[in-house]
Amino acid sequence: MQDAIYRYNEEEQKQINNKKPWKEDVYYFKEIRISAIALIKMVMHARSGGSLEIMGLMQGKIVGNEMIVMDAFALPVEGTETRVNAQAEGYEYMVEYNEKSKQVGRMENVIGWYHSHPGYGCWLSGIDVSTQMLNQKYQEPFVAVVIDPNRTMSAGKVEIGAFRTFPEDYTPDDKPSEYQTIPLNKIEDFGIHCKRYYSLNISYFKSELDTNLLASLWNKYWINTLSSSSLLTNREYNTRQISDLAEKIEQEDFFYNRDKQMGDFPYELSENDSLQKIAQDSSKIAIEVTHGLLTQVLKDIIFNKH
Amino acid sequence: MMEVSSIENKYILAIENSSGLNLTLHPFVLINISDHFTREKFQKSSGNVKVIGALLGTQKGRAIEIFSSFEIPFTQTEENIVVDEPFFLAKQMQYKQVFPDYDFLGWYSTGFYPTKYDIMCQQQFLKHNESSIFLQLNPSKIVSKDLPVTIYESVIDVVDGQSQMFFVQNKYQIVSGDEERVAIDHINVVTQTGDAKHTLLLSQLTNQRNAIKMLTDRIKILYKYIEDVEAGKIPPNHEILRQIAGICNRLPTINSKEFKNEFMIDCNDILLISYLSALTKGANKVNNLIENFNRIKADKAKR
Repeated sequence: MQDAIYRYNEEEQKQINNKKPWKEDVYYFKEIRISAIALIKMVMHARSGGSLEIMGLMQGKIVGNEMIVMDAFALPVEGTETRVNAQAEGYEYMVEYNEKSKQVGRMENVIGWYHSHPGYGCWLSGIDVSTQMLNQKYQEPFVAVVIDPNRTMSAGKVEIGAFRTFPEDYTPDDKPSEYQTIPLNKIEDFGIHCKRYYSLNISYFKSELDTNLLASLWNKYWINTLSSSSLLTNREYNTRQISDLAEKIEQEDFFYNRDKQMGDFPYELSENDSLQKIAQDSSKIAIEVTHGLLTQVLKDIIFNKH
Repeated sequence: MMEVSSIENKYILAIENSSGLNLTLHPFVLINISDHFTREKFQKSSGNVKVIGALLGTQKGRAIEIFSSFEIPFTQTEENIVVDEPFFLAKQMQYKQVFPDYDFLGWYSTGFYPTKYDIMCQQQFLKHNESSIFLQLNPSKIVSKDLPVTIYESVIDVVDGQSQMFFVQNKYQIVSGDEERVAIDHINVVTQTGDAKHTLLLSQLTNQRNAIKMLTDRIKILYKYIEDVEAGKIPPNHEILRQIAGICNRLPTINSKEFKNEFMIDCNDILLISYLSALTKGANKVNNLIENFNRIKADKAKR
């Protein structure tokens, strides 16, 4: 039964909330499932913020060690990266919104927050980590979701991450997280805090009616697939990516020369994989723009005379 | 094509709509209504499920674009239906805080065709927008390829000396923002294959192939039509023929020198990026090689 997930059992959730199984294991929650509506809402909201960071909250429930996000809503708060506890500002709004949701059959409580990182990838910054730690102390169960609207547009797939922080006194096993491009001016922030949280596996679900609607929607909107061009929409973002890459290469060059002058040459490079990362970043940019070009060439062949 | 119009319904006025409204609808709204309906269906678990909500978006002259929606509670009895107005107003205020550009445009409901309850709702919503529109979604099994969605406007007409309210069907178009499209594609692809990571190129190409297939199918229909007209099988419809001619005349879409130039520049830019990326990769490889070399040398020197 595809739609069974939409049923909400208040008793069951209360029991889970009283039992607090996540207290036992810091890795208790491993999976997160997001509904179609929540994902679309979050992506559209993130994109509407442009280069400003936006934030909102998610409503959902717990099943086993899965967190299930049923819905999401925007908060009237912007610029979340620069201010500590921006969430408090939206508190009144949140309470009222949740109240109103219950009146129209949205019984789930808030189980997490989302915010956007326009252009610099999905991870938690120092401020995010402290916000999330606070939330996990007082609002459990709680999850943090980060969306990068700019990368979503350039890659043509949703760039999203879901995270939970470790308790302050916990030191995780040294487990390298999956590699992602992070701009030079954010690398420090990323590096300091990246061991203080872990990411959850994300999957999605939709209702039977959604499936039907989406199938027939395709009959109406296939034109958009042909008419849009990722090269045009992402011009600014691509330029920024390239200049960021150039800065990284320059920095690498500087380190290299410095090491050479200091004389410890041949130096020990075994841990230094920064050039490797730069190469990875540059391949990613190249792949994305090549995809964009592919579309353009295809259209040129179809619609223009050759 | 649409089956709905053939059903006799005393609340629909089967006339050509002359208001000239240009309606565009975002898929997000449909998913939102679908979610509302599914949720309600499981919460109530019995009886007929009907949901009501407000449509939000922008209106510029006669062009209406529906961007978003929210749910409204209501109470229904045998004779009457009352929409929770305080809730509606409060919720609208909330939305204004986050999306200041969106205005109240009309409302939605689920059902097969308009009923007297829908007329009553419409009267209540007209207070808030004097030209509010009514979107009806039919949630039952979808058989046709068309979207099970109809949008109505209301008109007052005099029947037997009494003025009465009727719904008039309106045409609409589906448009989606780029981010909306990516998100929906994402949902479609990931929930089907269960894996989004390694199929980026594949999904992109599949999408494009499907879109082109759609285009071909439609062109084939036009082609067949012209063939049949030429063979005298069906009488020519000049309106349609003019439109076909219009489409043909637009091809090739852009063939100017300027476009070619721009296109080449774009191409070259991207080739340059690929080239730079290849160089960077090469540099990395060489670097690794040197590193290995040094290590071997150092090992040998130690011995």
